[in-house]
Amino acid sequence: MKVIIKIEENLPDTEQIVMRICSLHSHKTIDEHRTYAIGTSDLDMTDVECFIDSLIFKVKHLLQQQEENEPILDKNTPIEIDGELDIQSLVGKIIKGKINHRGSRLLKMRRVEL
Amino acid sequence: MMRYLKKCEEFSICSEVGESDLLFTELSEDRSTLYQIVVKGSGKIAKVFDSKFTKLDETTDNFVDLKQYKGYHTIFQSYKPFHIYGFNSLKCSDNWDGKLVTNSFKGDKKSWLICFKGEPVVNGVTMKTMDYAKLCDKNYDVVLNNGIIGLFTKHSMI
Repeated sequence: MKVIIKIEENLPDTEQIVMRICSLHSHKTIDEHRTYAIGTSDLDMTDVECFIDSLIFKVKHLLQQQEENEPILDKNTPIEIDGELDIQSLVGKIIKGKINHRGSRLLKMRRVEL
Repeated sequence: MMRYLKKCEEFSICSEVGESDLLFTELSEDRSTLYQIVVKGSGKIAKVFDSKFTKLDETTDNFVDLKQYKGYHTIFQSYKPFHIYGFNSLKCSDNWDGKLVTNSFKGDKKSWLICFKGEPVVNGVTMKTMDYAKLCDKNYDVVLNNGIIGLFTKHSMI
């Protein structure tokens, strides 16, 4: 995922920056996203590449939180589905799924009556 | 290595499939496995940096109580290509007892039956791998057919 950041203020006295972050493909401008005050004392200041890399590593969780706090558009609201598969009945429905970044897949199990 | 997970009504089942001499770690917050069921291969599991370990082996140690590792960072090493399942509690406070089914038995409403391997027949129903059932207060006639079935009973909160 590509992200963009915008440093709004540099506060060397307190070793902080005030910044915004969002996805490169965000449909809101970066100025519409909230600001965060981030400590810089633990960032890698060797050069600009190291600085950006260490900054993004430190704040990447904020991007996820930010995206999860975004309201879901009415037309994107998924329905609850379960039970037998009938692809035809799913046509036109909004279905929720999950991309698991740790690589886990769904274990197929079946409940039976004995 | 491939990892699989299914959250069921009162527990979850995970599964790992991989090659020999493979290492994988699990963080303490993810470690909720109470029993490990080995359907193929062998390996060992330990708390990270601990010299004590527990053997997992499809022939000698195929149903292992791993409650001692719950909530600890763990590391697993495979000796052979493996396929293992884990029976996990949904809540840290849930207390379960598990055992392999070897014969017919009397069930109860707090128990679940899970088929991990083969096609055993229970009360006339042929179970397939990863079929599971909630039990009730009645007898269950089991024809194992060399299958592996686990019986798990949930107890009161601890």
